[in-house]
This record gives sequence, structure tokens and C-alpha cells, in this order.
Amino acid sequence: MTNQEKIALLEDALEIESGTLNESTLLSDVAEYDSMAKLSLIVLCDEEFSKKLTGEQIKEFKTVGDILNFMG
Amino acid sequence: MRVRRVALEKYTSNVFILEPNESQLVWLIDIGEFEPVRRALSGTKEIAGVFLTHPHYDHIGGVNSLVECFPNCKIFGSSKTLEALQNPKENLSFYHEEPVVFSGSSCVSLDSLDEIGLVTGNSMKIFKTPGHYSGSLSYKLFNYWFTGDSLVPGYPVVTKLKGGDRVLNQLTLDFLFGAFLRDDVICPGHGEIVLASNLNRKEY
Repeated sequence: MTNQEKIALLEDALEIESGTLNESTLLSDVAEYDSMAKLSLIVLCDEEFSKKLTGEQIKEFKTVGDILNFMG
Repeated sequence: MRVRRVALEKYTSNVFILEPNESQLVWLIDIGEFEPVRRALSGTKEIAGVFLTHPHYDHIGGVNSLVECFPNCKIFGSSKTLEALQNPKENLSFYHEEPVVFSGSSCVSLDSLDEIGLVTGNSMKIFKTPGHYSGSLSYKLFNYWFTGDSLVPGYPVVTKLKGGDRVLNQLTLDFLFGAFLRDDVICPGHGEIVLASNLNRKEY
């Protein structure tokens, strides 16, 4: 899966307008990146990438690129 | 009929206890945790049933403890909600502290009903209110609305979780705000009870 496809999945899961995010986007600048969004991200990583994402790992994410790297 | 709110600290979600006058039977709206609800009941009361608004873990987490203590308690909800009680990924408990899989059998689907009797003269009205979750239901008893997470005053409805739908959410809100009367009491899945007259459709 390309990074663009992963970003599209992420935008969909967070209910963000398509084209808003890129790899260098700071998560602290994304208003929609709230506690519900993080739960949605956990579900996304499990269902699309078969990866278990923990709360501790989420705290380490600073950019969209960090999330893409985790997705693999 | 007395309606009491139990605000759960663990999940910040609400359970509502419905106590008809001169009856030992009570009904619940949601059951995120059981122990705080058990403590809130007077010793002789029996929980006859719980009406589930939707199956997210912060609203169903206490369901196994509930039926263990009250084996005759019925679990009411949409068929999607009742199915999700068996699926920790669908009820999202898999992604939280401990998976919840309902081990009981006294489930009653409300899919084909628009109201159900509690005791003589009291009737719970049932409304499909998708948006936060596809199988979400809201309930109305007298002038009390129990909206679950389909409407949480002061906050936008969360539609980004599994089963959420932004378009259906807006239709649900149109329906709810069209149905509310000024003196109706809104009892949401989180937060304080509010009067419908204090709510503004435009804020959602």
C-alpha cells in the first residue's frame, strides 16, 4: 500500500477532508486528532494492517509520517 | 416514575435508573459499569431490564455483572447492538482494557417495535437514531428522552468510529430536534441532563 493510500485511509478514519494531510503534518495541528480519533486509529491499524497499537505508542506519534511508519 | 442519573467515573458515561412508583422493579438505560449502579439501588429493588442505546464498551461494560446479580434481567436493544455484545471488536472493548463478551441469553431485539410496555400505564417509545452507531436507539418515557451518544449536549456527535455515519447523524439530529418539545428532558449518554429548550440544532 502506498503512503498516499494510507493517508487516504487515515483521513477517512479521522473524518478529515481528503487532501488535508501529508507526511510532515504535525498531529498537534490537526484539530480532529482527539481521543475518539485515536480510538479510530487503533481500530484502523488492527483491521487494515493487523497491528496492535497501544496508547503509549500513540503518545510517541508527532507527525502523520510517524503513523505511516508504524503502519509499515 | 423517578429517573435517576448515575454518572460513571471510569468512562464518564451515564446509566439512568427508571423507578416506577410503588414497584420493586426498576429499568436501566445502558450499563457501562454495574457496581456504581448496584450501590445506587436500595436493597429491595430488582432490575427487570436494561435498554441499550448502543454497544460501545462504555455503555455495556457492566452487562455480565448485571445479569450475574439479576439473572431475570432482560437486555433490550437493536439486533446490531445485541450482536455486538458478543463481539469485542464491534463493541470496541477489544481496544480498551478488557474485552467484553456477553455470556447471557436474555436478549430482546427491538427492531420491529416502536414501543414496549414496562408496567401498566408506562410505555417506552423506541426510535432508531443512527449516526454515532448504525444500530443506535433512543428511548422516550413520558417527557424523558434517552439519546445515548446520538446526541450529547455540548459536543458534536462522534461519527468516526465503526458504524458511524455523518449523513445519517444529521438526519437523526433533524428528527430528534423536530420531535423535542420545549419541556422535554434530554438524558444523554454522557454529561448532564438538560432541557430540550436549552438546545440549539445549529450547534450540532
